[in-house]
Amino acid sequence: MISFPPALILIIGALLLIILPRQTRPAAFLVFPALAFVWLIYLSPGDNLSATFLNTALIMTRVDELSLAFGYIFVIITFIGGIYAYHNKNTTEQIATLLYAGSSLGVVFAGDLLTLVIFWEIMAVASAYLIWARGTSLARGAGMRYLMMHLLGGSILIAGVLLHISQTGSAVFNPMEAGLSSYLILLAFCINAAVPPLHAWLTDAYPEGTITGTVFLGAFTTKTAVYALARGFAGWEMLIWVGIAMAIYGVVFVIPQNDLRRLLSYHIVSQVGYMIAAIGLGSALAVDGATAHAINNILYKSLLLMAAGAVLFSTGKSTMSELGGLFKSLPGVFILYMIAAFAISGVPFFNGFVSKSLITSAAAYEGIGLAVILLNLAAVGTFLSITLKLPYFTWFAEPHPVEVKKLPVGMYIAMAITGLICLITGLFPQILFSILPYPIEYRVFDTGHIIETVQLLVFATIGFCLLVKISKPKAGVVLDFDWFYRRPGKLTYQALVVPVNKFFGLVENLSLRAVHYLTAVSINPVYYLYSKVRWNNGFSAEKKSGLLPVYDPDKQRYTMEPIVIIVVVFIIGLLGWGLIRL
Amino acid sequence: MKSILQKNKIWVILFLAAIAATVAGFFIPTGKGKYDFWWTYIPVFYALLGIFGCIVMIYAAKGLKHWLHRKDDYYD
Repeated sequence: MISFPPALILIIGALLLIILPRQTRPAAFLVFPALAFVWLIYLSPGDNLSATFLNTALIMTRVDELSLAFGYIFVIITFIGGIYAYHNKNTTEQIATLLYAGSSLGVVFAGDLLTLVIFWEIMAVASAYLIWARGTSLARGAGMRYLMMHLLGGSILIAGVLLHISQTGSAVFNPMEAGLSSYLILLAFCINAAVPPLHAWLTDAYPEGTITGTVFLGAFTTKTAVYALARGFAGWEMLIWVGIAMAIYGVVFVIPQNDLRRLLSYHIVSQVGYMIAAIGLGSALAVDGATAHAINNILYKSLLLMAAGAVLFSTGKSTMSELGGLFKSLPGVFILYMIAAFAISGVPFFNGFVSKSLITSAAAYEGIGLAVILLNLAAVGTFLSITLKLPYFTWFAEPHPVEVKKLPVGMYIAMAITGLICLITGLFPQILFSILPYPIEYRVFDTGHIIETVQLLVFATIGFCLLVKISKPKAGVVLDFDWFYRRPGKLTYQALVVPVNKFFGLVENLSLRAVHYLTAVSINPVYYLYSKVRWNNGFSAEKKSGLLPVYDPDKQRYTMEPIVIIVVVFIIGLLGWGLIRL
Repeated sequence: MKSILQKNKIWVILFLAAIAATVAGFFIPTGKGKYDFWWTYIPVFYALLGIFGCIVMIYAAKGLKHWLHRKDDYYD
């Protein structure tokens, strides 16, 4: 059966936005994800759209349970993000967002690796614009580093894919066998999944993005990578420990952060760690857990980023050391933030509880006790930073004087919808389970498990209250792996770019001068080549006036007498010579 | 007595919640009955993990901050 690629709905939408009247664009933006959602409901697993390119069979669209699960949440969050960004009149940003969302959909519905690569690259470029659109010099630098890292990842992916096709003769994207090509592809996926030490692009760039752009950034790039890992590398055991290391690394680095959105970005690393650990476990329950966690994470992380964005929009400040005491002026944002914070920390009856339970249970069923403990430890860290520290130092603690601007209604509506979905999927996990890739039978609200979680969280709160004084946020940066390219980057720039630039400038200058003289000489050769006085003056008069003298035959023609005399003498000589020879 | 209670409202609530959660841990088996690790036999294991995990992480982060913290203009 031929099916229209869902990605194209958003991408065509991005092109249509250009020709629509400016006022209608924010509303039109919402139409395309809504259409895509309807189309996704209409599609059923097994629908394919195939083509042949360079003797390679391509499956441009492949619909199955896994891609549908990611597809649904991608279009939902595009829609909600559109409401959040309703006040934003930057058309290029809207177009970039739709392209970004469309290409993310393209990745999750790509049945072959070549199609995946193409959408992967569009994602990188479109998303970089969402960082640059902020317009600050920090954003320009961070966006460039972000793009470089993703182009590197894209190149590694292309190398892996081409090698894979040449080895297996097939471009179809199925679970991978170990081998060089698979390792290259895995490496590229890990860059997008922000696996430390390749994660610094995320924590460097996301906090510098636009207020609305960062919401989309937090939703798509890492989650498409999670999808790609789940599709290609489920059950690769090393991913269990990679994921757990990420989960712990993320929450430890979250604690010293000061910028709200940077704190939340570090936390993306930790959350993606859960998903990758689950993918490494590879059982049906674990892959379901990873998918459920990706869906839930998109919801509550977007809500957290929206709330942080709302604080930034309203106060112009985004660091905890400059905020505090906002509860009086932004209570609505606080309440909505707390819904997401409870969800992300896995408080029972919120959606994070559901997906975290799936993952830790999957680890427990495999008998990996250490994984269970470490994942619970990461949950403690999450609760500590997201639910206790950030809200305490933003909405309570000692207030700093800031001016509070009124928020657009769209922001509140978007946050409320997201919060509502978090609550509904938390209370009725069957809704979530119905779209997961594998059929699932799991009792979420087990009394023993709820008590475990309550113990964990209550005692973590006690720990925080005891140590609240030493957790006070401080202005400044905390170094991370980006140091390795940012610090030597300056030296490399001095060594490689500056001399090349100077040489280029020199050559450019010389060639421009050459052109200038050649033009002057061509227009009036006699004037320039023979009027010695002018030559010695270096054309100063012409330079000043900016005009080149025009050739005037009467004034500047070379006198004819010498030539006539030479010719006459030559003819006489020739005649004389002829006479003598006769 | 009343003023002390009001002053430390958060502590009182936390204390009550902590007692409730700990006591409940003794009566209701954790571990879902499907898997069985050494800690499933310790009723307060998750409470200990919560408080010590939290303290260890805060101190780890403090050490990290001490080592890696720089001024805002470090990269300029």
